Amino acid sequence: MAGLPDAGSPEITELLRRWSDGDAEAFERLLPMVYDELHRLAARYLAGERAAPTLQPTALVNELCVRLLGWDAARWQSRGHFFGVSAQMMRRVLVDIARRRQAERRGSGAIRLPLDGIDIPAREPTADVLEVDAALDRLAEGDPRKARVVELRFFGGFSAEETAEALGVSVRTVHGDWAFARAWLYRYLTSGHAG
Amino acid sequence: MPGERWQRVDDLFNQVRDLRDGERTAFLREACDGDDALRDEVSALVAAWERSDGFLAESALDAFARQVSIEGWTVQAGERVASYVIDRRIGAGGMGEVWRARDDRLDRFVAIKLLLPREHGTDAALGGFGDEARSAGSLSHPNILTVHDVGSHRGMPYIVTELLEGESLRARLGRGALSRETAIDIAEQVARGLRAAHGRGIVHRDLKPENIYLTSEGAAKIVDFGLATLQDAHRTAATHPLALGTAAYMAPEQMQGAVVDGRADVYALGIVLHEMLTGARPGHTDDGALVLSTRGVPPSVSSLVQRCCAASAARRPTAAEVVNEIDAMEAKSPPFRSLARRPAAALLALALLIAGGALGWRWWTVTARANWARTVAAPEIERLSSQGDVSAAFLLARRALAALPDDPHLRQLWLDTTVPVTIDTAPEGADVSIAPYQNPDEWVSLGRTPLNDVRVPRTVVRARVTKPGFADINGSMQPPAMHYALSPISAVPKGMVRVAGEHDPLRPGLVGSLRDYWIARFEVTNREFKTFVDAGGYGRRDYWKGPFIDHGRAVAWTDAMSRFRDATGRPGPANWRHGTYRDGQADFPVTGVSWYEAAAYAAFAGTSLPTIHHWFAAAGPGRFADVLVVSNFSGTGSAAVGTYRGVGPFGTYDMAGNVKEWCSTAVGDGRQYVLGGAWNEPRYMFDDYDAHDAFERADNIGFRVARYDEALPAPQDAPVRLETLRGDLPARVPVSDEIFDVYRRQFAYDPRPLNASTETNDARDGWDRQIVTFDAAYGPGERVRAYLFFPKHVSPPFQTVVVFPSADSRRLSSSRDMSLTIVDLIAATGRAVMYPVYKGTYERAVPAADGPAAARDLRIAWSRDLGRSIDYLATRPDIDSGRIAFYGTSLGGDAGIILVPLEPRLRAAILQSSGLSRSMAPEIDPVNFAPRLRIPVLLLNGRYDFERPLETSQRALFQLLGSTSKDHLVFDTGHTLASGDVASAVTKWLDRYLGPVAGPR
Repeated sequence: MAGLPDAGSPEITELLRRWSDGDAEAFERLLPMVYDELHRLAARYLAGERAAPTLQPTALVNELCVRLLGWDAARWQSRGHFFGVSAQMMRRVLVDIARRRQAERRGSGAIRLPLDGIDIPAREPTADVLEVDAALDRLAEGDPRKARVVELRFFGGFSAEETAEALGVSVRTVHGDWAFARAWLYRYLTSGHAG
Repeated sequence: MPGERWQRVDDLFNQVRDLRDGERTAFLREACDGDDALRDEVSALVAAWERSDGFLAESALDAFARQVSIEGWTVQAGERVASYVIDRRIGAGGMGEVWRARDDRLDRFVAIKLLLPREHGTDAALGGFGDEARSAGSLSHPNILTVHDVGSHRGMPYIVTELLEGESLRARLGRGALSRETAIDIAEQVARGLRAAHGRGIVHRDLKPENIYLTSEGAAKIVDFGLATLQDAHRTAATHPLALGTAAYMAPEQMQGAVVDGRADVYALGIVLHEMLTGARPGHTDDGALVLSTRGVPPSVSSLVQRCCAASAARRPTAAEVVNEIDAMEAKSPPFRSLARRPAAALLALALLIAGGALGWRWWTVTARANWARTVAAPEIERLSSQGDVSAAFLLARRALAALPDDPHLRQLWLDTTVPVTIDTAPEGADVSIAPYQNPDEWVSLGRTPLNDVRVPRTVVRARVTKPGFADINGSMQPPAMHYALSPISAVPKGMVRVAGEHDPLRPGLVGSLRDYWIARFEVTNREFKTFVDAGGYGRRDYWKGPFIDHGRAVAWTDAMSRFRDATGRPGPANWRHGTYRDGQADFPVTGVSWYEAAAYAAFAGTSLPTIHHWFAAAGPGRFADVLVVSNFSGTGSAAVGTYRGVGPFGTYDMAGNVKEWCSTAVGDGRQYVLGGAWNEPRYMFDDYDAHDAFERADNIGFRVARYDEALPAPQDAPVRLETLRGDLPARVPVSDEIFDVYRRQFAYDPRPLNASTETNDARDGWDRQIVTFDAAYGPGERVRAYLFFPKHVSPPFQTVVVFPSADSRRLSSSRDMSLTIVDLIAATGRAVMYPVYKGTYERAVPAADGPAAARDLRIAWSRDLGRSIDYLATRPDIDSGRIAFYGTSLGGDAGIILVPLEPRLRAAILQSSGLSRSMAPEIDPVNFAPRLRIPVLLLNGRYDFERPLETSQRALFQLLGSTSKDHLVFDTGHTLASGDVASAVTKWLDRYLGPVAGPR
């Protein structure tokens, strides 16, 4: 693994700690490392490897986070804590990338998300990562836990079970929150208000 | 915490979700109990939930990756990359994307390949990417994809190439085996491309059907030269196994990770040919040997495939041999290919028909080439030469002479642009090739050492010295002589080159006789320095050579260590943070280190810092400034080591510029020498002296390491005072007139008959020439030969310029080989030229004697030769003996400082590439003569002349000159000036002080 500083290196751990304590500068220091890794993953997509059944997006997120953050149970308060930090980081990174692409491409390059299924049919409404991010902030005002569920599942790519572990709730609760949050966000994004 | 109402909505939503469609409305009406707003809220959410099946079904990263695979990651349509406007994506791969783009400047479509932004660890490969792509691009061969441009866009390296229409050989093979004729045709074209690349030392390393493109015009083009190395780096970085398809074309030695040469490409070509002929790659036996299946293939072809695929590289043919072999096959069984596809061949056939058979054809081509040499090549050689592009003139002259070997004009151009050199290697038997220094795209083989008097361009060139079993030398060479010491490959320390210790120290105070030693090719990088930091080098007392002295006070080791901290307080260079360097700077030279840290690193690495004597021996600053043009004096920042192409004689990079380098030699006052200049300094710093406080940790000071096979003799290790190196020139005071008069008298001679005779007459475009001889003013029976050139279209009596040549005249054994550049220059002003063969020059060479007495005797002879030449001119009615000037170049210029004050009949003087230098004896010391040079004098110099440095030599002389009409013109070159540069200044000066030339010009 020539590309990265050693996973779980003291420097990264320290930066992560400072970041989770609210130090924005620490995150700026982390970003380049995340980008490098993301480029590598994107390259594998471009090479057509995404067709391979073993390389699911969630696996990629996990690989990214494991490689980046290191998987050393002793360093983390819990697996759940690890999931939480990973998802937060992915959210920040993807939003940042979307912003950059938008800036570089004069407004047309943000990451689009289909609102109605995997394929983007013509003329159907789409949202992009930036809009979801903003909507999620609104959702968090009403119900922080549901917003965390979205962060973990959508940005972090974690399963319902992992999300439950991260939040210390039951899997059933996660399913309920996830359904509610998706409905709420969908409505917010399509009608522009939360009712 | 969610509010109470929110909680209520949530609960109801979850309950409704579990119900069947039909039951929901009723349930809600009942549960909301008249609270319509609540009911509407939950209903709306449920409706949204029902429609949002696919929403957020894929993770954000997945959506992103999918979008990237559709839209592209790197750029998008309409975006501008330099002067290229992105059009549409035409391919994507693991490393990046290929887009079609329009080149705005030239209004044509090109292909632009953008590589994904840098990853850690591949910086070095990317650094090399530009150079290698450029050199591959410069090949400009019909069978190699033409590279137009390389650059970087938003952190992504890109490469712009011609846009091809057609398909890859891989796509073509997808439709089955090729006809034998087509297969062999393609193999031959690929071999031609490889031959051209290998001839320039470029290896593809990843030849395979994907990298061979068949254009719709029927040409085969090799693509992606120079990218293979980069791809390797990417793969390694991604710990990504090689695709099976690529491994199949990889030679055994390449699989084993050995350093490969062109023969690995030949192996790949063999496999490709097999695949084209049979539709399949060779099979393998259990122990890995290839099994070729060339049934139905003619023996000559299958034998070729077999030898290309030999497991041992040594048994494979070269690409050139493959071409020859296929040509031979084609000669036996003619039309392998149709003429229609090869317009050139068709044209040849037509010409043959017209010219009437083989004899006529030969006559036709020979005549055409001779015509080209005379009418096209010759004027172009003169133009290139007068602009100072001597290497290009050399290459053209070589081709022209091959076409027209006996042409006297071409022969003279050859003599003007070249100079004989002697090249030794130890051991002998090495092959030497040279190429132009700044753009090494055409290599010329000089033969095998020892080489005596082979002619090379009169400038610095790149040199490649190879001998099987010994490490290649890829360095440079300057006339008149070069000695290379070869080393068995196993003896070369990693990353180092061998330096021949014997050299000609251009400066006082330097030791010129050293033992051979090793020096690092590149400056020490951040990555390398980190191994020292990570190994706890800052805590290991044994690496640190005391004492630490700061402004005369001893500093304790622990105190010193507390100063050597990075920006975050950890041990390390001043500009590091948290014990490491900045992102992307792994291969940049380490800076921000004190001399002590540099020395400690060297000790840790089992090496030393070079002394200034050794540093200069390796850097080899000479008489040419070309190295400065292609080195990093960019003013913008340091660069990854080896990014700039300025190479030293033995293969070192960045000794000129980039960062300046600590040397082990002390000044003796707490400072250490720092040599080579930095990216933010003027170019002349390459050869100037600089010293800094040993504790200083500057952003433009780094170092490189050296290794000596044995301990250095004490004098080489000792401190050297700056004054010693600067030669103390200004301290000399001219002697009094009484003493000078004594000096003057030793040059005088008694009048005696000239006994002059004219030997021959001949003519050339710009002038008529006579060779005359007369008795010397010394020695019984000694005669002086002189050449007299008369301008055409000018009426006598002629103004005359007496020239004194450069030291080339002391290296050449015959005046027949003299360069006539200076003659052409003066004749073009309408003046006659007197070119005496001075004592000790050309055929009048004297045994080498370097002592002060010999030097004085030679200058006395020169003075008398000049005097007798003017005596002779006075006897000629066609010479205006009142209008005679002197023009000396280099050695001749230095001689002029002494000769001109002694010769009252001269009206003006021009001294080119001259300056104040040390003298071996006061009676020939220029300091005593310059103040007595009182006629109008023009100094012509190069700003980057290391033999006669601007301040200490050129300007020092200018100050001393006693003339009231003096001028000093400085050109942006090294020691050698281009005649085209100086022509107008020379004309003006002569017109002004000899008067305008009479008669029609």
